[in-house]
Amino acid sequence: MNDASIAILTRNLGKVYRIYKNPIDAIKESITGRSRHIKRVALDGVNLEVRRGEIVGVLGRNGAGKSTLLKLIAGTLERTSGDLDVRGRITAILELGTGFHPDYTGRENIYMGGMCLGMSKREVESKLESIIEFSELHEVIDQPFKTYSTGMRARLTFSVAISVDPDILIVDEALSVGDARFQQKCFSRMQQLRAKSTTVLLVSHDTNTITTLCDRAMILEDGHVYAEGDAKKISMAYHNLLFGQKKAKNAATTPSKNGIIRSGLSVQPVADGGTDSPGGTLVGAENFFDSETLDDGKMRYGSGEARLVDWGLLDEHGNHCGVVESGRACRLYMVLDCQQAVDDLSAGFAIKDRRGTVLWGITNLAQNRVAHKADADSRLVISADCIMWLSAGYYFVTLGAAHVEEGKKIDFIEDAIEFKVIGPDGIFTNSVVNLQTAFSIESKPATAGGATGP
Amino acid sequence: MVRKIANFVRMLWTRRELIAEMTRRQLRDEHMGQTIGALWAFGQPLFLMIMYTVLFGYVYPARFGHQASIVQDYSACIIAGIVPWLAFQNLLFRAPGILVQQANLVQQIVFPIEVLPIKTAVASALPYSVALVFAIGYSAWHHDLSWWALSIPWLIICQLAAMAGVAFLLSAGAVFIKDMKEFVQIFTSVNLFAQPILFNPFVPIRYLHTLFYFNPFSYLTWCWQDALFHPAAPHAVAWVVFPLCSFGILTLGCWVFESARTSFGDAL
Repeated sequence: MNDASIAILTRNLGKVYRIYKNPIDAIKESITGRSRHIKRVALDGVNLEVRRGEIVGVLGRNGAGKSTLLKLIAGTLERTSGDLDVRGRITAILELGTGFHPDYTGRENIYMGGMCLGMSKREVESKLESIIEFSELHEVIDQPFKTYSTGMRARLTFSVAISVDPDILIVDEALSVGDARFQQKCFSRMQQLRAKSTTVLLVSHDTNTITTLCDRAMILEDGHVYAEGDAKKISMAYHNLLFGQKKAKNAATTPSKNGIIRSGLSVQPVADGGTDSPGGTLVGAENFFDSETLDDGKMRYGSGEARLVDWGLLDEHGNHCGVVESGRACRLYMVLDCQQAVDDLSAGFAIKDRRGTVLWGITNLAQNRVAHKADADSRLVISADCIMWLSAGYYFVTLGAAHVEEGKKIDFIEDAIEFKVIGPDGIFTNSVVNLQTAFSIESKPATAGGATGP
Repeated sequence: MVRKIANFVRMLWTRRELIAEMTRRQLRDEHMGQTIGALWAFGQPLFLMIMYTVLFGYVYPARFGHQASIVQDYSACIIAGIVPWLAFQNLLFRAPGILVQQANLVQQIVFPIEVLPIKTAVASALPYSVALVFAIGYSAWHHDLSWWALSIPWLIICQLAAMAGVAFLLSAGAVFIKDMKEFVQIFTSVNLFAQPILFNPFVPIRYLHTLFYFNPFSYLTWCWQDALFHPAAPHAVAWVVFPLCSFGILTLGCWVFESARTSFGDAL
């Protein structure tokens, strides 16, 4: 507790909302002492330690308790149990445009917003120019706030909030509405703040934001800390939680250890996060990641009604390969064992580059415009014959099967296949595609009349 | 409790700029986009004053001419009593909504919410400054003004303290009791007649007069009447009770507000 480098410290932090059917019940209860409320646990036993200059991301589904946690830390809600120690001046952007009046101009709102966030009038005045500059709203700053677009509102709100020079900055989703370039700007400003040892607590649904910006991240699930640790790993775990975890628990009752490991490809079936935890209890961060490190960080998720048992990349002779020559034929395939009938199956492949950009993708739905009906206890071999028109580089194949309806994943493996493309010669080494080019320079006699249009 | 209140006052002092700005805004906000804008805030009380003056100074005496000749003209007394009450009533109408209507400020940002009742109290009183000047002028014109008028600044301070205290109490209360607003509205319409404002001070009705002593607002009215309508017999008790009550209610208001603030977020 006496460590000066700690900005936020919580021990067993809990929040229980009391829900009264009728507001008068609260008064009756306080008089009679008889309980008249229903309890809803929003947070339970949250332990969190955030140091100065750290940027920590908070992920979680709707209703997982993210906002409650931030409000407790910000002090707009009172905790029910546990300890909370927050050191320093807090600025919280929990909702866009709070304290901003729609009828006032942007400039007037900067004054009001800044003062609401605890600055003196002179302080706002001295920062006015830099706030306007950061928001890039020079032209419209003297127009009413209500005429601004959502993105512009976000920009102004954020610009004001960040000008406060807080010790702790709490941002709840506010960034998601800004355009990509402004987000980038906010990110770099946050990095600057970090250098000044400002602590940032950031809530987002966007795992990309979390991975690019945060040092650490945590997942809240049902009011508990579900996992905590390195931002990148947490983002993957969150992905897993969103798309597979719940059903995967059901699948765990019929264990399927039928993964076939292919030589030459570093692919191993991954134990689904959460399957090793009995009946609904949540996994501790450490258990969770042990299985991850074993599996080269590959993510596998899905409901488990069908399971991929084999997959790979074949060259034109039908042999497994890890290297493909650009311009040659190749085949991607996977074998799916359906334990249950799936009426609306869509299965396919996607190729990504090292930065995670999807370069190509195909599913039976995209190709044939119909979902596949798979019978129970059937085996499907799904393959895609391609000409490798990618240029030299390293690529990754994500493959899997999903329900067409709502895109619910059945079995997905991120970056299941890794392969290298070589050639073609004679083009830029950083080319992405092979256009099978015939290149020429022709010399023609100059025409006397100069160039004329066709 | 003393510590709590001391902190509270210090917090308010550091936020004085914000309070000033928000007060200005509230007055402007209400009349935003209207043709003569914030002038309404000051013009409407003034109009009321002129109406009361005409009514009690000329219409009633003329109507009951034979009585007016016997008794003294007490229209300045009515004006003196009605200005502070209208200011207070203005606050009473707004007070229950202070936190409820600003739920997002209370919940969404780290915001010093104690500023809200204060600025509402000031913004409710301020428009009546013009009406007060009018009342002083009217009283002077009627030769009813005396040295007692020097106490006006002190009365303003006491009244603002009382209004702030009530604003704290009602705004906090309304978070938990949703029908606070309706209670207050009924109270205000009854209360106009439950204090010695519209009654002839020279012909007191005995049972009513006894009743007035039970209404804390009466003491406020008496003080203002003493200050503006040169008293034959000043209400000595009122000059003790009114300041005591004002600062008492302010202290209580601060304390209640401070104690309840942590549950505002939950209740809203």
